[in-house]
Amino acid sequence: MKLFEQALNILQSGVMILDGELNIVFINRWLQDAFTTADAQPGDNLLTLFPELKGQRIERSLRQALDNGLPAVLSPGLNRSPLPLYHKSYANQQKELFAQMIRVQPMREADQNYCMLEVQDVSSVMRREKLLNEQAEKLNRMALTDELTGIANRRHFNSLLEKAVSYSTERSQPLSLIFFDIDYFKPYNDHLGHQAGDHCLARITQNLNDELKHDGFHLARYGGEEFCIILPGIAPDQAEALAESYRQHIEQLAIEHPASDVAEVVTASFGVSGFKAGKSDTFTGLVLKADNALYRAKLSGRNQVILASAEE
Amino acid sequence: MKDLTALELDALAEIFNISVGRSAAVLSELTGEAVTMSVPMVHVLSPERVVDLFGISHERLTCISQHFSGSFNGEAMLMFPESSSLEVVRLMLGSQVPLEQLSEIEQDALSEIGNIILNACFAGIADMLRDSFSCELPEMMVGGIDDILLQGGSEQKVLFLQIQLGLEQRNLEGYLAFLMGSETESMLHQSLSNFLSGM
Repeated sequence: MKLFEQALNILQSGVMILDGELNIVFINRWLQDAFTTADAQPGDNLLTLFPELKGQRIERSLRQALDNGLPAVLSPGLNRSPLPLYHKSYANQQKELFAQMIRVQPMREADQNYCMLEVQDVSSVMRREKLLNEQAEKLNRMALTDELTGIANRRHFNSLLEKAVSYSTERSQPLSLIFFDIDYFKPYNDHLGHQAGDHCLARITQNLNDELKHDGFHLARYGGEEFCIILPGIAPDQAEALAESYRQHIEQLAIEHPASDVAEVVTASFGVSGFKAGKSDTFTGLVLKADNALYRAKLSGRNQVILASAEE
Repeated sequence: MKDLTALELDALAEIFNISVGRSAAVLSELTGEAVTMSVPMVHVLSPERVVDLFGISHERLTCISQHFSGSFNGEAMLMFPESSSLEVVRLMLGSQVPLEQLSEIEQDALSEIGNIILNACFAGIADMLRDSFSCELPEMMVGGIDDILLQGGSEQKVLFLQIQLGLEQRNLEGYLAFLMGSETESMLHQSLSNFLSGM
């Protein structure tokens, strides 16, 4: 038996046996060392040593094991640190409460109920998982964001529009889609260089995005100098008016354009499609109609808004 | 052997409803979210019949099980479709992990959730029987319903319950299954009729 006790004392996790009144019958060295706020010895009562445990899930779990013979798992995701167990940190003299995985199991000996509590220090697992989640989130974000402008990319746009179409159709709500394209962007690049072109796109999206986000609309880069805006809850005629305000907004940024045939400054052409409340359209239908309206805005002299007619 | 009567099944459903209601309260307190749970109906079926009825979807299940022994023996299981199990644990942990599988911490959390629900059911049955049984720690596995249910002998019966779990305006469905041998079933039958006549 001495050998068993020695083994438990050199074990690198905590073991404690409690009797029916929550008195400590056995506690191993690892756990004694981790209870830095009190000197826990066999014979001590757990709740006298740590009155803060009264009424907590850990106390109820111990009682359930003792009274009903039911085992319990206390996982770090749902209860980070049920027991006052600390790492000793020599660096800054500060103690650090660590994350714990606890198992409670009933035991019976000579007609008496006991329970065994087993504790593992899972702080490194928690740290590793936090890191993993952060990495995964970062990758996720990168896969959906346009690198230059920081707004949604085409892949993200596709899923956003897909969701918006089914959401609006189910609830009989209107939905509109705006496509817009910077006028004479290639000449702008040729004249001022690609860096200036990039800067121009970033500036426009930044300015529009703040306004759009506020209204719950999504701005995305469809490709090159072409962008789109999803407007849930907005009927096409309303969207046409909004598109006109965005067109003015871009014009008023007054970004000098030395190679434009329509203005002294950077402008954009807009195409609008959508459906009214109670009507519906498909993902492809909306995209094709908005793109076609945009094409007609270009043909009609640029720097203007065209609404796709409903019959198309 | 006689099948359980409609009255006995209703009594069982009532006991399980109270039990899962209690565990919902524990889970609410633990997660800070409003959790509701109910058991609409209890069925006693052969494992093959359960597989027949519920194996059609072919979705894999996440299963938390606990063996129990005492005046009767068997295995209790809480099962969720794999995708719902991700949702349950993430809603409860309030996390938005972008991974497609349960992480280690989520697996442990799900074991705890299962442990809380199953323990409440054990306590409810033990109360009714004025008896206690001893249980083992929960184990988790993922597999098809046939892998999970058809591991025991053919003599077994399954006490099968649907669980409706409400969490943050989401309605999720899970299953509770108690696998038991035929002597266990007749004991349950006996205890239930005693319980009902004592009422």
